[in-house]
Amino acid sequence: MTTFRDLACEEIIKGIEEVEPDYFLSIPCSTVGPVIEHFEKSDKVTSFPVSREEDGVGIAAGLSLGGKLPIMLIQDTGIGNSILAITTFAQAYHVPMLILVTRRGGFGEINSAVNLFSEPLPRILDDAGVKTFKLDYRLPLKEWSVAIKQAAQYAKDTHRPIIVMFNIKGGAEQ
Amino acid sequence: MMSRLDALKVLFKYTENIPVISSCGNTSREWASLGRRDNHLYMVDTMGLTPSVAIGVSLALENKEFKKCIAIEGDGGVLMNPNAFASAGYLRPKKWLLIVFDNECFASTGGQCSLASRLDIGKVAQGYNLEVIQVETADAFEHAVQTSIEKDGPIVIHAKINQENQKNPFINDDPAVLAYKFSCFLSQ
Repeated sequence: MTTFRDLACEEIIKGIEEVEPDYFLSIPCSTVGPVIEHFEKSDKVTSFPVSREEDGVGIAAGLSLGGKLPIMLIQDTGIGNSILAITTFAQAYHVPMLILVTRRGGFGEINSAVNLFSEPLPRILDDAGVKTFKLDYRLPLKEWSVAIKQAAQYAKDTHRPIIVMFNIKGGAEQ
Repeated sequence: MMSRLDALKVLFKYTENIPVISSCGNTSREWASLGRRDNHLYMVDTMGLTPSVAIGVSLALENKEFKKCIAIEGDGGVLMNPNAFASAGYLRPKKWLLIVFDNECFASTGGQCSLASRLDIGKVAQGYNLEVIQVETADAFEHAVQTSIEKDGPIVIHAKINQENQKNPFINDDPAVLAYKFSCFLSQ
């Protein structure tokens, strides 16, 4: 049976491909494993892993300054590892990039600590002034690829990092 | 032992047409005091990120004429973000040249002792499979810069310097303007 997660991953792949990024950076996440595997095999996008999100933001920023379009896919915990680089470099220096973020915490989360960061994260990003779009089961899946494509364009047009955060666990509000 | 300014004066001679990204604090202030250029990107914050940004620029410039993208970082900054060593070791960006000015202290904040006083940053970089050139004098530094610019990277120049600090004006420019000038230089 096809799950919400499978369908969501297909839509995320479609959205990224429609953006036609030059580079795809990632740190593994089990919920979007199929997305990462897809781009590891892709011959249209240069894909590579990074070891920490802060380093990834720096590399993505360098690519962007050099005229390339990067997309980075990370877990929301990685924002904690990179928020200084996002704000005082990518945002301050007007460097466009799209950061796709999978949500932790909420229903279905078995980790006993991560909720302490993941739950307040949307408020942290709002307070930091980092523009974030949130996708979950309330937005029809066929709209997710459109949102990813528009977010990438918005990052370019407004000269800053844009985050698209998605909860692909489905179900009630997280 | 040379000062950072001695070394920067040497670097300035060889980098008129090479993008150079300098770390926050006194390093960027001393670098800017030698003359502002559009090929310079001065970091005003985000300590330790310079080598990562230079990896991205190096990859973006692979098919362009620029010989290198040079990152200048201190020992404190490198130990704050050793992940850049991992990325450089993994991605092997040919145009990436990192210059680590190692004075074994946090000079910009008053000279507090850094972890580099008991660690060899050059050996750390070698552990990430990076080519490292270790220098302690201005002559050796000049030779390292000349040869590194002409050969494929990734390369790290680990330069030991004294703890001298120049007093130069703060770089308080709008970062968006700094990035715009640098980006325009890269797009030529």
